Amino acid sequence: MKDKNSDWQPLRADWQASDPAEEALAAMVRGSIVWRIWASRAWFGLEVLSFLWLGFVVIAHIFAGKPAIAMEVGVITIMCLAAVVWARSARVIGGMNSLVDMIELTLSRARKSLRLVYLTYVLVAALFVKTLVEAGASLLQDDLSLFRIGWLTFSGAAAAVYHFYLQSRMRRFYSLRRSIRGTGESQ
Amino acid sequence: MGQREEFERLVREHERMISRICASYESNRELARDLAQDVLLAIWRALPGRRGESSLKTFVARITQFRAISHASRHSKLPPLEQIDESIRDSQALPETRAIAADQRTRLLAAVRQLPITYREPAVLTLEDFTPAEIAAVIGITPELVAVRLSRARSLLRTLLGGDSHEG
Repeated sequence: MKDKNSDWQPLRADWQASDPAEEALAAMVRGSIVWRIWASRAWFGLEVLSFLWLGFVVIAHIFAGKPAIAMEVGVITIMCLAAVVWARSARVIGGMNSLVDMIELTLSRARKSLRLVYLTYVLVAALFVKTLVEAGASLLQDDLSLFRIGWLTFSGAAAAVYHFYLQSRMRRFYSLRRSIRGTGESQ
Repeated sequence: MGQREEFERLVREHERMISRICASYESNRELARDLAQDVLLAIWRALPGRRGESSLKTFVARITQFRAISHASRHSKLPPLEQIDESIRDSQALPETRAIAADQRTRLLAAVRQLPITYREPAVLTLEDFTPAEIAAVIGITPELVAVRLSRARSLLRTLLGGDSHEG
């Protein structure tokens, strides 16, 4: 295929010309990326420590004869762990062969995330009803039930915010996919 | 070679390309710097999964482009294809564009930023010395479509730059 290099050559020379401002920017980025990498590692360490701590809490409650609380904390921990593992697996996007593949994978992950959000809605609603039924008339006097209601409300709101973010992200990436594929362009 | 050494080499060799690509999608210097950092972090994370089927430069360009278009779409900075004519007319009317006319590189960057994403991607990669075949592989479209887009991008840049000394 013909590469119209000659047509682009004068522009290339300007584009790649040395620019002090750009070199300063590159130096700043180079300097701060080390800190970003360490911060990323520290964050990962905190995640591991948090899950170890939650695991300890679950075991402690089992030995303290409180299996119901241990089970609740355990379920929440497993859900959080699954979410963290899911989020961290996003790095595989960088290993894709092309920009279009990266967009496809992003959309595929977003669709799966959306299904997880719907599952979260169902779980939150089911636990909400269960808590209300179990507490009955003594709901306002039962601290544990009130805590559960508060936690479930927070979880539902967080899922809704994430749902909104996901929909917005999917709209953007569908639009990008349309633009890049350019199905309407003549060749 | 370890991941850290490979990453350091990659940063040394391609940091200017990353900065230029980021600058072509983000005019705000601070945001462009943040974007470049995000790109480097994404590259650091993706390095272990790199299969080595493409060159390091292609790998870097692919991740940089992906991050950059995600960033630009998030900030609604992508002029839609159908608005390009309007965009060109507006750009010619902008006094800022005239004010920076002395600086060829700044003018070129400003012109590239006004291209719709479909033309900006191949144009930026061409300016970074990628061949049309490499660009087709990076983006994931056919070489013929790359050629069509490059031709249109060149034509638009010619209009945006006002048919100056770049015309070879």
